[in-house]
Amino acid sequence: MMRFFFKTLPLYSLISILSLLLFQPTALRAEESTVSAVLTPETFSTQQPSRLAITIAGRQDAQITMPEVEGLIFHRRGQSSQFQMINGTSSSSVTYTYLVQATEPGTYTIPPITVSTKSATQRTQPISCTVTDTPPTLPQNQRSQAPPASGAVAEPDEAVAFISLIPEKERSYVGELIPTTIKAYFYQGVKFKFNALPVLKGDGFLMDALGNEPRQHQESRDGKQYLVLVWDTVLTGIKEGQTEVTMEMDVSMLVRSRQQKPRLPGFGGGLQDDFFDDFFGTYENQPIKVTASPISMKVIGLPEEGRPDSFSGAIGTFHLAVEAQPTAIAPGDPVTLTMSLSGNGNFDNVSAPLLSDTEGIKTYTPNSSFYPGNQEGEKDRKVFEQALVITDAKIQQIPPAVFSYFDPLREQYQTLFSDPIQIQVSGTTPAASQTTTPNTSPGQDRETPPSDPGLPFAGLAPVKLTAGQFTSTIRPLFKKPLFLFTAALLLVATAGVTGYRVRSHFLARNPEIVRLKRIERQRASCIRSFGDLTSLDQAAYLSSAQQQTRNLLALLWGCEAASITTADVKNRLGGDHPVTRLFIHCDNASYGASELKEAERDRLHKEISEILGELT
Amino acid sequence: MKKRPCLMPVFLILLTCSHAMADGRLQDTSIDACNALYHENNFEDAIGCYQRLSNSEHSANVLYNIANSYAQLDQPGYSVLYYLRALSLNPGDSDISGNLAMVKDEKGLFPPEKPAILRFFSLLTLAQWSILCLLSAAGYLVFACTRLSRPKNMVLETFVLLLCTILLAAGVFGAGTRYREWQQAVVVKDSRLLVSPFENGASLGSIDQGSLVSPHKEHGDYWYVTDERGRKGWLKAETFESILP
Repeated sequence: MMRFFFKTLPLYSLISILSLLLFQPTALRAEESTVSAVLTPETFSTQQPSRLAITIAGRQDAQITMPEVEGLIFHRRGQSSQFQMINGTSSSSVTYTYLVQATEPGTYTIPPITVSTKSATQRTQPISCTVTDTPPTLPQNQRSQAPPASGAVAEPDEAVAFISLIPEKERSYVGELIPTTIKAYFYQGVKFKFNALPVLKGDGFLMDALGNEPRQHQESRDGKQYLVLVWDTVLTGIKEGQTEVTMEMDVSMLVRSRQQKPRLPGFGGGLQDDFFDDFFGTYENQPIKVTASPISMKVIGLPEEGRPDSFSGAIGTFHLAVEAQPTAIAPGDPVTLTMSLSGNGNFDNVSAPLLSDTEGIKTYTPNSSFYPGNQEGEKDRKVFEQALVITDAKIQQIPPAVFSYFDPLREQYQTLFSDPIQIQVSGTTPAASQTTTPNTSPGQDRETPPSDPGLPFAGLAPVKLTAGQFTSTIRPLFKKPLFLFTAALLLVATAGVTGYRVRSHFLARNPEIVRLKRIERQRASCIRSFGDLTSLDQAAYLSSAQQQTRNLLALLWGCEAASITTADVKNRLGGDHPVTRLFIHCDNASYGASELKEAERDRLHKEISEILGELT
Repeated sequence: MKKRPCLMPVFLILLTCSHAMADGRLQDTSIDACNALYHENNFEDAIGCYQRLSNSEHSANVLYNIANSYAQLDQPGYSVLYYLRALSLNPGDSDISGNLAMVKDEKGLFPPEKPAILRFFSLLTLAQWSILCLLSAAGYLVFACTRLSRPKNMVLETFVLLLCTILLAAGVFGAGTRYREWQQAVVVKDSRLLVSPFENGASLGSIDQGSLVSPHKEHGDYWYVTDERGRKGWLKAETFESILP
């Protein structure tokens, strides 16, 4: 068993390794999530943005790369996670919501959106959409003349359900975030079923996505008890002017049906009808639209006066903190500048602060991360990490970072400056050397580097002074003839050695085969030798012939050649067997008892030659 | 005014001589002449000179010098391309890899971090992985020869066979992975990835020169490619060149 285990161990090990390597991607693919994107509605106006929901099932973390579409602007409006367990099978998904705003009417195609997770990168299907110049409305005659059919949406009595839209302010700047509270009131004496979240009605305003789980409380109003659903959201004015904003919410009111029930025979009207109506009565859903009273909101443009050059659209109140790591560097070493902007405002439009002076500093495009605030008072924060390379050793400090924003409270632009950060640059910049004609000398393959500050790459390693060896094609080593020849040689040699070892191993495990082969070899040798014995004299002939046959018989019988006597041969082969007679003649000749005649020797020789191939 | 007719022939002679000297230098295809053009900041002529010197053959040093010239012309696409070609011939040259890294850093060409398995295979060059394959096969051969006349030792033989197999597999996978990198192409002009292989196809985003792409299939003047960030789209054929010429 152990032998078998050790024999097959290499094979299993090899298979395991190759399986690991081959099937690893398959295992990873098994974890892949599915991605979908839905645009609602697919036809919208330039004044009314559409909602793009990108849902990633099976994953909670993903990076979304939005495509660039000329004429369309994507405003990120948060994300929501879902988790559900059905029949013991759990599933989770995360939905990223974007508002899609169009600048021009027309037909657009949103290309596949790339969603990168840890294990894979996936893409959604392209989405086509149509953008109109005016918001889609029902025709006037249809709105006013359409009869209220059965199941039509009814306007509820305001005392039963209504929405209260409470923006923090009714005058704002374009792009300013307006914290807003939405309260939906539902009279507690009526049963409601909520079909959809409240939607904003009003051109020129965007609203952040509402959560599926609003806060709930009870509130007494005009002596009536209401269930109140509360959402906190943010409105953003995107178009200058006075706009009426309202909200709508689709709900169904459960109304008891007033059908006349047939009375049971014999019961008449003696029983309490109301009681049985309540008990047996049925409810039906009556869809209604709960609305808010319109609010007139004014959106004004940002003032041109006093707008700083570094202003990039940030509106709100912000604080800037900057730090650099490391501060002790060698020329050319990168420094990571971490710039943190915290506060309240439109962080979507907040771009990285700029260094007030970049001379002698190479700056790279910063990365940004957004950290939303929480109820404990922590404010929203956007952190930019920017790589810098100090190219001038004389620079002793990183200059202040500058960030400008518009403060809607003060109604003026503000510019924040960070403190300069002291840094220590060790060594000096490479000294500029004059360009010299290279002097080729044996063994020298490169020259001192030229440093022309006017060149894009002054610090490049210098050109080679020798042309080096030319080849006709750029070919990898494993395609070169010498490599292929060596590999083939090794392959053949390894195959040969392995084959030999396998054969040796096989023969070692089968000694009978080896013995039979030796017998055949000895038999052939014996037959060959016998043919040459006729030229010998009688004594030599008998001695040699006996030795040859004795060797063969020893192999056949599995014993030592010297131990085979005439008696053994006689017992095994019989008294008349030519070999027995040969042994007898040999014994007689050795004792001088008789001499073998020439004719008899020839006959005996012939008989033995014939039976040598059949001896067993 | 009277001196002008006398000066004119002198000017013409000087002009002719300077042209002749310049032509002579351009036709002189020794590396010294090419390097002289490079040091005169005449990078375009230096590139032509190096290319004539190569005469449709390839040398790591000449390819490297061409890459340097393109870098100084602020053409990072071609610069990266020629550095990579030079590296394919001489992967151990620190000047080539250093300059390539400098150009990429300066131009912000930071490829996304590779998975651990690819980082492992990046430890050795294509040639080194290939040699590892040979060494593992040769090692097993030597071992097998020394064991011919000795009694069988299953544990030792299994261990050596396993070791050689792992090395061989690593060598094959490593060489394959590195060779796939050779088969990539370099974007030599700033361009945009398109959703469809047409001039008016919607854009998937920009792609900087010097970025690496893996071409998959061709349609007209466009190739379907995957860039280093995994984005897939159509790229005009004239905007990229294969590392292996």
